[in-house]
Amino acid sequence: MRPIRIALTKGRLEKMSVQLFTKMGLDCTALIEKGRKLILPVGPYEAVLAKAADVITYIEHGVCDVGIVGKDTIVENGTSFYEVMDLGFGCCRFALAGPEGQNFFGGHNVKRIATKYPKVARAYFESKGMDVQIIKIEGSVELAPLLGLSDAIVDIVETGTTLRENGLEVIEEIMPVSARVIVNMASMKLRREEIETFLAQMEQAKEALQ
Amino acid sequence: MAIRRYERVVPEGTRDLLFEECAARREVESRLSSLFKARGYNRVITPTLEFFDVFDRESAGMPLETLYNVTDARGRLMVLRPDNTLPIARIAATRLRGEAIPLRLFYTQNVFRRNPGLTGRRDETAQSGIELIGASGLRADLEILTTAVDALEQCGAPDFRIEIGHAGFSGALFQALEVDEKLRNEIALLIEMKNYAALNDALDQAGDTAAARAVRRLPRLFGGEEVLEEAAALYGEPEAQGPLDDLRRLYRLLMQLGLQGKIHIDLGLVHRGNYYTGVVFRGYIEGSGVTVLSGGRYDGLLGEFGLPLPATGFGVEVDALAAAMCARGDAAPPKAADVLVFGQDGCEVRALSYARALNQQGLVCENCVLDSAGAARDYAARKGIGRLDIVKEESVEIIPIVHAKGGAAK
Repeated sequence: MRPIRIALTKGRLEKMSVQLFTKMGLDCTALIEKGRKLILPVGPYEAVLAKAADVITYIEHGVCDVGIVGKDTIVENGTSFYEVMDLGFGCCRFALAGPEGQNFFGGHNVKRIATKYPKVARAYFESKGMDVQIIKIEGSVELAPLLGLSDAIVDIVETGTTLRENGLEVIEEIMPVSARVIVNMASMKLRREEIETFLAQMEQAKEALQ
Repeated sequence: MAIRRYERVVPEGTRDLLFEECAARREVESRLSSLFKARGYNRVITPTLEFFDVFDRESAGMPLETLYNVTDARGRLMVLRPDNTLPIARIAATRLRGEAIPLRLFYTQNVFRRNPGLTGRRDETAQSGIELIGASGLRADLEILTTAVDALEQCGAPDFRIEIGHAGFSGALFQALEVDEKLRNEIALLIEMKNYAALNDALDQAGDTAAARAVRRLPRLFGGEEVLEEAAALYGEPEAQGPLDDLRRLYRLLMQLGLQGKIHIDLGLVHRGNYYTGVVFRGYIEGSGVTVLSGGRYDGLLGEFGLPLPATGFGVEVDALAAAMCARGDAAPPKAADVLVFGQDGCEVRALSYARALNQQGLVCENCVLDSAGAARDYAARKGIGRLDIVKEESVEIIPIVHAKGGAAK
């Protein structure tokens, strides 16, 4: 049987994930000095680095067993896997943001919302009973209200600096976001002991990091 | 601009099955059918198209946007069958009303669900399963579970796990929670996903009752019999004890069958369809990342169709088992015919009769439709057919054919 395979989100969560693994006593050399190899040994496990949404895809299909991914990606893309741990790093929040000093909720016109997270935006406005037009944007969403494409944006906000520098402000917070550990459902059943041991080590390392 | 035509591709979520894949699916279906028949189950086939109303029930948890729907000539909404248990419940409550119970029914047919695009999930999948209708109690649950075990073993799974839970236990806890219906459903979903973090947040609104404490612990209540003791200690109300006793008896009987390590208790197992009322279970096999078997007791469902009868059953994801069979290399590759039969000019009919005679001996014969013996010979070599029989007026010439890749073909 192949080693337990871990899918890690590249970028924002990568550094903290490596710190966490190091705290767990795992040899992360291959993860830190990654060459062209895509599947990297981490202690007795194997790791892959992937874009956030792909981490979910790999876990759902069971080609990786355990994943570290942001809650933002889970609510936008997730369906069926176990979400077993909040790692407490990579913290930020989903927020509705728009031009400073503007009354977003005023007026009777249908508002336009630019976002990278159409599902989150739709669910949020549905819960408010508001009819809005959602436009999917791939890159810097902050640009859309500045260019006059949208009235507001739904995006993840870490410090709010980018918003402020562009004359935008948080209108309402939607939900907090942080890094989560997810597990394939079949792996959890078939390799229960290995995965539980791994998760227990991770829980301890997480406490030690905080 | 010309209208784009989709004549050379199949829709996303569907696929052609060729040779090995086709053989593997048929093999899985045939092994399961043999098993079910041997246990006294009779096969039924339900229509691919049914009225939406059959599936449009709170308890089924099948939103319209996940179904393939069309309207009939009178504008009534119909769907491509998204599930097998509901049509069978309909049959049992209508056409089989008055038959001696219990009814033992099995099916092997496809179901259709819309999945989000580009996720690699299939919209058309083959399922096979059984329903035992009109029987409650331990004997029926034991029969269904052992048949589930046998189904996975018969399909050659090298390693498998079945986890069992009880909708009566989780249901009793959920009902005892002092929260509104919406939050209660949300909590059930969080337990299904073992989302400990969000579950804790949601339960903070439920106060510090025994039920809330037990629910908090629920996703971690999996393992062996000790789990049942822990659960009983956590929540001692009588409505939760019955289910735990059921599970304990069932689990002990399953252990007598030598299924240690294969069967686990998972009290956090909550099915999305909420028509389940008793023992519920799921199966997983090595080499497949999805749930390959799923089932349980649904004592309230037939009543919704007008005939209150207890029932239990399970369905198997045939495609997932077939894929695992292919991946293990256990599926039969396409096989060349044993003999190519060529009739000389004027001997075409004789050649066909000759081929029929060989068929009766158990040989697979291809009838050669080419015009000359030379062409027949080349064709046999190319196709890997080991023998060419040339049928003449008075005799048959048998020629062994050397395989095109060198070496005599079998």
